[in-house]
Parts: sequence; C-alpha cells; structure tokens
Amino acid sequence: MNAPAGIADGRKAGPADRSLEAKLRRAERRRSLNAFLLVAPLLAFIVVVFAGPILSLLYFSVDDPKLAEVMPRTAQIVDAWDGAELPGEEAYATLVEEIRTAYKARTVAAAAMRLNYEISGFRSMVMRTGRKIRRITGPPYKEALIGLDERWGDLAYWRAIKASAGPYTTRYLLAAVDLQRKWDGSIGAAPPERTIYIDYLKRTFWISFWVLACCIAIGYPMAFLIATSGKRWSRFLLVLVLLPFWTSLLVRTAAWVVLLQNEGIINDFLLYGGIVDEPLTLIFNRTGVYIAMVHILLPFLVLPLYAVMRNIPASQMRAAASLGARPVAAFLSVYLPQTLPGLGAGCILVFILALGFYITPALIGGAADQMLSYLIAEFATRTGNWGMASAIAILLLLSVAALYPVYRGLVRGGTFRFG
Amino acid sequence: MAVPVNATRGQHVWYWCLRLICATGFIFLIGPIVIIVPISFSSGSFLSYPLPGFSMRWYDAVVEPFPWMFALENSLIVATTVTVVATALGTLAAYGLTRADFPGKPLVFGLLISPLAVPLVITALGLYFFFARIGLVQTHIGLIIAHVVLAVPFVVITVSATLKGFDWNLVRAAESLGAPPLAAFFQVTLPLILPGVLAGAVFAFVTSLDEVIVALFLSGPAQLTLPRQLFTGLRDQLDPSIVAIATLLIAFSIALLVVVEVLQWRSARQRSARAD
Amino acid sequence: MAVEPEVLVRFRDVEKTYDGRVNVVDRLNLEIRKGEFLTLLGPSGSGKTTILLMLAGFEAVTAGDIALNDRSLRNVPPFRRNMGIVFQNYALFPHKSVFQNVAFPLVQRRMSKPAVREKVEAALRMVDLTGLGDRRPNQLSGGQQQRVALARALVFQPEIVLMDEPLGALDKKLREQMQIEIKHLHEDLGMTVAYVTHDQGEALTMSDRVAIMNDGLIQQVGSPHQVYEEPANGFVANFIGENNSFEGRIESTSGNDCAVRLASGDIVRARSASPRGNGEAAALSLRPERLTIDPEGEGIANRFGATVVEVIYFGAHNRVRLAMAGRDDIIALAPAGPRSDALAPGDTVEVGWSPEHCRVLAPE
Repeated sequence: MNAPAGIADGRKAGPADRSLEAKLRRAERRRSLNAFLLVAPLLAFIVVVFAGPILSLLYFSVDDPKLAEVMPRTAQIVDAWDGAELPGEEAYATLVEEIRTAYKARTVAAAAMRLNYEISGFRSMVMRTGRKIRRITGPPYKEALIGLDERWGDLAYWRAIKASAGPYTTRYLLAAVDLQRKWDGSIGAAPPERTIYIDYLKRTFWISFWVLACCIAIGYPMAFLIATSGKRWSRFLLVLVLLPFWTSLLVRTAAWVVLLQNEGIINDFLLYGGIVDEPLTLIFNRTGVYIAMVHILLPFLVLPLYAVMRNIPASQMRAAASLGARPVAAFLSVYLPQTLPGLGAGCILVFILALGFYITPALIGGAADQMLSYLIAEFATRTGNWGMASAIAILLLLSVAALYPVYRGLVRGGTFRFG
Repeated sequence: MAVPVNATRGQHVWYWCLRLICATGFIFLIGPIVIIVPISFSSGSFLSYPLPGFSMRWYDAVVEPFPWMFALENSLIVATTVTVVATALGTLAAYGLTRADFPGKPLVFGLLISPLAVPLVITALGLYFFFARIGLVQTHIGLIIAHVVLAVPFVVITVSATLKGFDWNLVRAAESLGAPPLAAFFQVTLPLILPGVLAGAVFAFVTSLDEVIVALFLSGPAQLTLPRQLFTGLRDQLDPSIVAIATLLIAFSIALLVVVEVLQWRSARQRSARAD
Repeated sequence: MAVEPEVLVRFRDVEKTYDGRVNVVDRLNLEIRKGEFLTLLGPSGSGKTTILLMLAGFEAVTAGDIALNDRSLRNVPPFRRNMGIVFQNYALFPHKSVFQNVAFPLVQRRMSKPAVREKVEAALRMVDLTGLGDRRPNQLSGGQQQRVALARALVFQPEIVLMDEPLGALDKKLREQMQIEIKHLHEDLGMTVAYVTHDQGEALTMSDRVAIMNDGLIQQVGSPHQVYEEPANGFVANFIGENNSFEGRIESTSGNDCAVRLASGDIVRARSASPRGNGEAAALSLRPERLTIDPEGEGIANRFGATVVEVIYFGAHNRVRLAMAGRDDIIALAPAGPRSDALAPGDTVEVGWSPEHCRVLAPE
C-alpha cells in the first residue's frame, strides 16, 4: 500500500501516473482478496461450528418458549394480567382447556417442568391436574380447578405462570447473580436457598487467584534459573518443564490421585517418617485441587516468562550494580519491569485457563471445591436446565472476556510462544 | 543461578532460598510423573510403595481389546483425522494472514484463535446443541469436527509465527524464475516453513488425543476415547491398569517432546543460517 | 625529582582462570594512576575485558589482589565499588527514559529530587543531549545512546570510569568523533579512565598510557609514542600500526646499534633497546612511513634498490608495495606528491631509512 502512495507523492500526478496508481491499487486489492480467500475456509468453519453454536447457546439464557408453546392462549392472557389479584374466569377456562389438550398431546410435562423452576412442586401439581382434568366438564372453571387443587387459588402460582409466559425472560441471567424479578417487575435478592451462584463465582475466582499466586511464587524463580543457567543446564531444566507440559492432563491428574490418596505415597511417606500420626486428607478437598491445578498450569507461566528473561542481557543487572543499586533495588527497578510482558502473558494465560477448569476439580476436589464449569455441566446434563446453564456460561465468558483483549494483544505481540 | 561474585551475606542466603524454591518447583513438576511409572510394573494391586514385586500383569490388562485398545483405536482415528484437517485449514489461513493485509484482519485472527480462550465446557455445550440439531452427536464425524475447532488455533499460531520470520523475497525469486504461485508455495514456501507446520500438527494431534470435556458431551459408547476411559476409570475405580496406560502415555509424551525439540532446533538453525 | 604519581588501582599478581587449567589473565601487575587515561589494548580473547570485569567486581579473582586506594577490593560487592561503567552495548535500561537512566545512580544514593534534577540536567548538557530526557533509549540513535551511557556513568562522579569497547557498535565516523569527545571529557573532568579496546587507533588517540595484552599477559605498558615507536617485541610491533618485519642475524654491535645480516645477504643497520650478542637471531621492525623512496640527505644509513610491485592511491598518501632484499611484500607509505603519484609497477627506485627508526627485536 505504501508503494503507490510513495510514487504519487514523489512526482506530479499526471494522467499517466494516475492510471498507474489505480493499477497498483487494483493489484493490491487483488492481493488482499487472495489472502482473504485463503483464510475464508477456516473462518467459515469457525463461524459455523464454533461462534454460531456458542451464540445460540447463550441465547438460551433469555429464551423462554416452553409455556407459550404448550399453552399459547393462557400465556397471552396471563401476560396481559396485572398480577395484583387472582385472574378471572376466562383465564381459568383457557387454562383448563389447554391443560386438557396438552395432556392428551403429552406436551404438558415440558410446560410443567418450566413452571417448576418458579415454584418447586408446581410440576407435580400440573401433572396431577392433567390426570384429573376429565372431571371438569363445564363452568365455572375457577371453582372447579380450585376444587381439584386448592393451590390454583393461590396468587403465587398464577404469578409463577405469568413469569413463565415468555417468550423471553431475564430470570436465568438474574438468578446467575443471585437476583430475581418479583411479580411486579422489581428486581430483588433471590431467596436464600437459591443464592449459590455468586458463591460459585467467588470460589472460581478465589481458586484461580491462589493457583496463579502459587504459580508466580514458584514459577518466577524457576524461569529465572532456566534463563540464567549455562547452556546445558538450561536445556535440561527446560525439558523438566516441557515434559509435564506435553504430558496428558489426565495422566497428570491420575498421578496426583495416586499420590494424594489416603493410602497414597505422600501419606505413606509422612507416616513412615513420623511427621504425622494419621493420614492427612489431601484429596477430595481444596488442598488437592490447588496442588493439581498448580502442577498443570505452572508450565504456562514459566514458558512465556522464560522467553522474556532469556532476552534480558546480564549486563542490565551489572549496570544496575555498577551504578550503586543494591540487589533488591536492582531487581525491583531494573529486572522485574523488563519481565513484565512475559509475566503478564503468563498470568493471563494461567488465570483464563484456571477459570474454566472442570476435570481436575471434578476428579480431585470435593463438593465444596467445584467451579463454574462444573455448575454449567451439572445444569446441562443432570437437570436439563439449559437456561441456567447458559446464564452461568455467560457469567464465565464475561469473566474471561474481561481478560481476553489483553491476552490477544500479548499473543499477537509474540511475547508468548508455545513450546 | 550462581551466586554473584563478591556477594553480601544477605545475597548468599537469598540465593540459597531461591535454589530451594526452584528445586521444590522442579521436583513438584517432574516428581509425580516419575513416581507413578514403577507402580505400573507392580505385581500387587495397591497403588503405593514398596512394590510387592515386578510383573507386567497391568500391561496385559491394557492390551485387552476392551476397553483400552478400543479407546486407543478411537483416539488415534480421531486424532489423526483432526491433525490432517486442522493442519491443512490452519496452514492455509496462517499463510493468508501473513501474506497480505485485508480489512478486519486482527478481528479475523482473534476469532480464529478464540477457541483457546473459551472455557471448554462452554464450547462442549454449544457444540452439543448444534450437533444434536443436525444429528452429529455420538458420531465420529461430530467428535472430529469438535476437535478440529480446538486444535486449529495452535496450528494458526505456530505457522503464523514461523511465517513471520519468512523471507518473502524467496517467493518473489521463485516467481521471477518462472514458478506459478502454487508451485512456488509447494516448492519454496512449504519446505521452508515445514518445521513450523509440523510443530503445529503435533500440537493439533496432542490437543485431540488429550481432550476429554468435549468428548464427554459429544461421544457415545462407540466413540469411547482414551481420555474418556481414563476419566471414567479415575472417577469410578482406580486400579493399576490406569497407571500402566498413564506410563505408556508418558513415554509417548517424551517421544513428542523429542520430535518438537528437533523441529524447533531445525527451524532455529534455518533462521540463524539465513541471518548469517 | 619527579613527583611519584598517585596510584588509584593496583593489580598485584592477579590471575584468573575459568576452567582451572588455562589462565585467561596471568601474573597481572598493573597500576592505574589517579587521573590518567589507561587503555587495555589487545586482540579479542587476550583477557582485557576480564580484567575490567574483575575490577568492577563481576568476576572473581582466582589469585592475587586488586586494591583501590591501597584497600583490597576482595569481597566488596559491585554496588559498593563506586565505579562508573560504560558497557559494550551500553546496557541502558530500556524501560526507563533517558532522564531516569541518568538519574538512576543518584536515586540509588538517595539524593534529593532537586539535586537529582540539577545533576542529570548538567550531565545531559555535558554530553549534548539537552532536551532528550523524556525519550526512551530505543528512540535514540546509536551515538546518542552512547552519550546517555556516558552521562550515566559519570553523573555520580565515580572514582574511576571503566569503558568496555564503548564505541564498538558505532560507525567509523561517529566513532572518531566520540573518541575526541571522550578525550575532552577526560581532560575537563580529570577523572580516571580504564578503557578496553581492540582498536589500536583508538588506543593511540585517546590514552595517556597503553597496556598491550596478548594471551592473558601484558606485553608492554607505555605512552602511545613509546609503544608505537619502541615496541618491546614483535607482537606489539605487529599489533600496533603497520609493520615491515625482517628476519636476520646480528653481524656486529656497537652499543645499542647493531648491524643485522638478512637472509638475502644484505646488511641493515638498526637500533636495539637492549644489548645483543653477535650471531643472535633477530627480527627487525620498520614502520612503512619511515621507509623513504628516493631518500635524500645524511643519516640514512640503509639504502637499497627496490622494484615497485603495486601502488594504491589513498588520497593523502600512496601505499607502495616493493620488492627488495629477496622479498616482495615490503610496504612504504609515500606522501602524495608529484614523485610518488608518478610511481608505477615495474619502476626501479632507491629506498632507505635511518637506523634509529629500525628496531631490533627478539625473534618470535
């Protein structure tokens, strides 16, 4: 792009030059297009099977079609209802009719499931109503329905239907941060039995933070040692970091399970050495999770840090000393600042990876050591609550995304090289 | 980390502390991997020392057709295919990304490597939903596509890094000597960036071979992979055959490490040869 | 009686070995006098940088001792030695501005902010960098970086400034300019400088004294004039400046004047620094600029016939290669002029030199 501009600047732009300029610009455009065409297949692939699916997954967090699909007219009526007091006969009549239809069509369970998210027990209540709906033969539907189950006369259940009327909802997103929308539209704290998600978020950050702190404490001196050792030593030590890096994550997790068990090698050693009298509990608790996670993530800190340290000449610290800087001052004002790009890249890498950890806490941690990823998987696979899974996924993605621009800048800056 | 000459007493103490930390760090990193290897040759079924005797019985269990050999076969089929596809797509894209500028290039690059930054559980769920709709859940194809998504950023990054140091005058030279662009690519560019491409391929292979979360969501019994079987074994019943397979995988990692080191050494040598 | 110069640094029997077998620095006895500009000159690997590193405290001394102001430097850490060092690649701190770089030693000495500002500004003015304090080192040219390094090493008024090939990375013209500037700074500030270089021109231009090193040993210490005009041995003669070397045997001696018979049978009259015996093998050293073509006048005791082999034009002088005394690689530098410009290969000429310019050295 510079070449044509340079030519145009250098001479008076006559008509001949202008056509040359246009020609060059066309060639440049063709080159751009060719380059883009090479990228296009992968770009299309990633958009279709990665970006698209992730976005549609996130859509589940606001999508709320179930009730409206199964009982469209009830949903409509309840949506228009102000929720202040029990709805009128029309609402009851529509509900009875739609439960009847849905029960026959065997679609009522999906709607009942959705209602159960609002009030537990609602699912069985709807299903039982469905079974007995034949008994209602004519108006007044309101009394008849309340006769089947007196909870139909409870305002809370109708408000739950209103909250589920769809087609969009903020309940999952709010619930993911321990909030809920009240029937009148105001946002308030969720009931205590449901305020677990912020705890998970805090715990995820807490675990990631400590893992990162341990990685820095051990990894910084290690990288320094590798970077300042002689050629042979440095190669050897680097291999000691690279071997775990290349070893399967599950193999390393397996090794830690073997080591940390109550009858495991570490406890045997401690008992044999008389350091403890009873085996320590090292697995299925936080200690084990920290140990295994630090082990897995340490190379991700050491390698970029080493890459930067390798390029700091020894004369830097010598210069600092010759100018009168005591060792600590020399380190803080000369060495440390120059390693910050590598340290930053390593830290962000470790932190982002730690935030998304699933396998290691699942295998080595206890119930109180699970992180956000676990929660997402639980909601998706065990309870099939995709709305909640998706909302928590957004929570996790936002945590990562806050760090992502920095990460990309560092990767592009070439500070971090794999291997 | 030699103590500096003419060091003060404080410096001596501090350097010994650093050495201690480093020694702890290296033992911590390599220890677990080294310690479990002998257990795989134990004749007993306790996963602890001292070993009652030497035997290959757990390796006999590993070479049984089910589950380990079956899982290994699946893993190899998936990983090989993933490697070929990811390397081809990734190299092509990396070539395009370094050959010329086009609007939105940084964004495209960011998008291509974004699977690295998205937590695996989220990727797995998204793919699960997408594949459920088009009938690819519990198929080999589905698992392969998912792994290509995860593996391709490594190829893009590695090959881009190699191409950054590439001397484009060589391509101009080839073209000036009458080679059409495609011939120039295959006869000049590709051989020169081959170490980078191969390193990317190794990364892709390992990514697929070691992937468990996506496999947990997407694969059925017919797509049982090695990591999945390891995960199941670790969660449900820990026996020395897991340690035996782990030992084999460690041996495999060492082989990979050697391959990658040789590749990097060769590409470094090529670079320095050019610098001279 | 001359006043005994005050000694600042004294190396006493200093030895240095890395592998326990080869001494990189051997039996080093050297004094650096207060206020002088001493250059360690030698080919790469001759041990000169190692000497500087030992003095700065970055390398351990294997044997012997280094004393500063008669106090041993043993176990004194580098940061307490108070020596300014200009490193080969400057070792400027890339993350600090020029101002912060120069202020660094003052900040380490806990100087007050206004004092730091004043001193840094003075130092920058001294090296002609006024106004560039906010730049980062990588925004400066090589010459400017060099000046920053200089300012940083001088700003805290160290007892001695050590420079390790400080001009090696600069191009020729800039290098020559910086040589003069450093020389002037030395004269103006009166500090002691220990300077390491492999560039003999640099050593001759800048130094009060030059110590010539080879294989870890000092070959000769003396003023630039001494080491050039009176080289102590063949190594020094060949290393400094250009040299025509003849092999021969002492035919006769008279005091320090010798007659030497060359292999070709020609007799050359030359001067020796020390008494020599008849029949001894000897190497003669003759500077090309002392070899005159068509010599005139008295005192030119050595006269030979020669054939011009090649003439290379250098502007201010012509470099003439001659065949004489059975050799064809004898070089003469002839000042530009009608006579020397007219020389052409194949011309027969008479050449000559006076005995005092021809040194008798021990053969290598």
